[in-house]
Amino acid sequence: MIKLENVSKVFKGDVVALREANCDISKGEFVFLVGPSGSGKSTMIRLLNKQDEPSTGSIFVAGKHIGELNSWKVPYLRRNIGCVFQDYKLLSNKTVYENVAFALEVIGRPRHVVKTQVPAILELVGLSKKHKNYPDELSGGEQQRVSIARAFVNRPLILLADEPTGNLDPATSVGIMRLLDRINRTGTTVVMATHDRSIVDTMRRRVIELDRGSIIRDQAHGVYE
Amino acid sequence: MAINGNYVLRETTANLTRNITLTLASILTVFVSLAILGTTVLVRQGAQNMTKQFEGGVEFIVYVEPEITADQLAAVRTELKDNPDIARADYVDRDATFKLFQDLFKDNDVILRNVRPTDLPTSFKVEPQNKSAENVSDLAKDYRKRPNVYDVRAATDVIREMKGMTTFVNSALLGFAAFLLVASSLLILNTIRTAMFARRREIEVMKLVGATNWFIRIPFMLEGLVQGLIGGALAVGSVFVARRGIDNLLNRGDSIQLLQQFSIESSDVTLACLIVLGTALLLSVLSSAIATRRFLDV
Repeated sequence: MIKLENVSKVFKGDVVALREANCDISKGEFVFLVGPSGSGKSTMIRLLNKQDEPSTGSIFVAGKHIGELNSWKVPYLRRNIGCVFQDYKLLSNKTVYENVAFALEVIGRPRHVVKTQVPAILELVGLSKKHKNYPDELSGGEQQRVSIARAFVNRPLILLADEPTGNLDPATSVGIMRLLDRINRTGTTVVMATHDRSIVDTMRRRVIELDRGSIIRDQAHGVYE
Repeated sequence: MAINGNYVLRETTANLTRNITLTLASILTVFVSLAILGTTVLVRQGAQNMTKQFEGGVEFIVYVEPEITADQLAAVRTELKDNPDIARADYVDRDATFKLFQDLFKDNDVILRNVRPTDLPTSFKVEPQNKSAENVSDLAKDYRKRPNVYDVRAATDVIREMKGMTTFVNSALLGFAAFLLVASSLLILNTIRTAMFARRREIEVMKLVGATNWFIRIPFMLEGLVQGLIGGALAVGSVFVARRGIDNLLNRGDSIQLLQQFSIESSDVTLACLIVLGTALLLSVLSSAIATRRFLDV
């Protein structure tokens, strides 16, 4: 599903964010990217949905060499990749329902699809009762659920999550992890960057550890360290 | 891909009303610059109509008697050709004269219906060697006395001056309009840019969930287009007002009889309107395209 071949990313001033990274992630896997801040986790995630271009190396997503993708095809790549962020990136002037519906509307889904899919996904993340609330009326955990609902409403093949529990307390984080686990069980490949030790140790999934841009460990059913 | 018309309408309206002061500023600047452009075109066309007969160095026109015989005509022609003071003399035959006449009076059916080609005097358009006003006037006076000459009309000092003045006024107005057009393009650009900046978070989310660039771009481009076209429509209105104003000015009395030749016809108004609308369209599409291209990188 995802394959990196000798991928490096060098920013201006010779800052190496990723160095000769190689990895192969299969369909349906759940992968943690761990490592200290600045180790290259976020860079790797940004490369996967073409928010950034690698300096060298090739990246394949769903069998496609995304470096060779025409720029007009990038939106279609992104429709297969849901994104969840530490800061949720919800639109504060839209309700919970509208935030999720927005993701379907802007890719041209017909209204009847929006009308059936949005309530279904809000049910899945447990926010049916709050669909009329605005983001700032919700707790952090609830906001992250909305953001997950938005990322998953289009049933993408891949879900990328960059520190999704970074702003949440441990108890709330567990709830979010249960949700991501459920999504993973539907066959969606999940790649999650985190430095939450307890989550990684509890889940016991594949762990890719990064340090100063290099992959130093790639372990099935791994722990944080 | 299907673009929801409702969505586009909603977004475009929201963009236009969110920043109403900037939107109005753009529309007004477009309006003023295009109004000046349109009026300039009208004045230019009017001046051209007035001086149509005196183009390409032609300084006076010798009309021969309508009933002139071929021999007499040949004599006049030879005389003009042999005159060392005259550089060039082109004969305007009956057909060409009638055509010109139809052209000049195309708004007046009564005259058109009652005049036949044979009623009109044919003529020579004369370009003298020395084009000073004094010399032209002397030559014209001389030819008026010659046999078989019906009349001589010279490009008088007034026409000469008008020609020079309208050229100057036109260039000045065009230059002014050009500056304003640049200003209005920049204003449209800035309005769209502001709208896009205000919605940068939405644009970011749209890009991340896979909205196409065109989908994101269209409401903003339409915003620019609407501004340009409203400004253009107002300017078209002002072109009509300008025409009426010029007509009133010229028909005020006999004192400016000479200026009667300064006429603006319906085709000139149509031309001015087309130029105004075309410029509005071009201006707004270009600025919108540039704005959305430059500020869409998320």
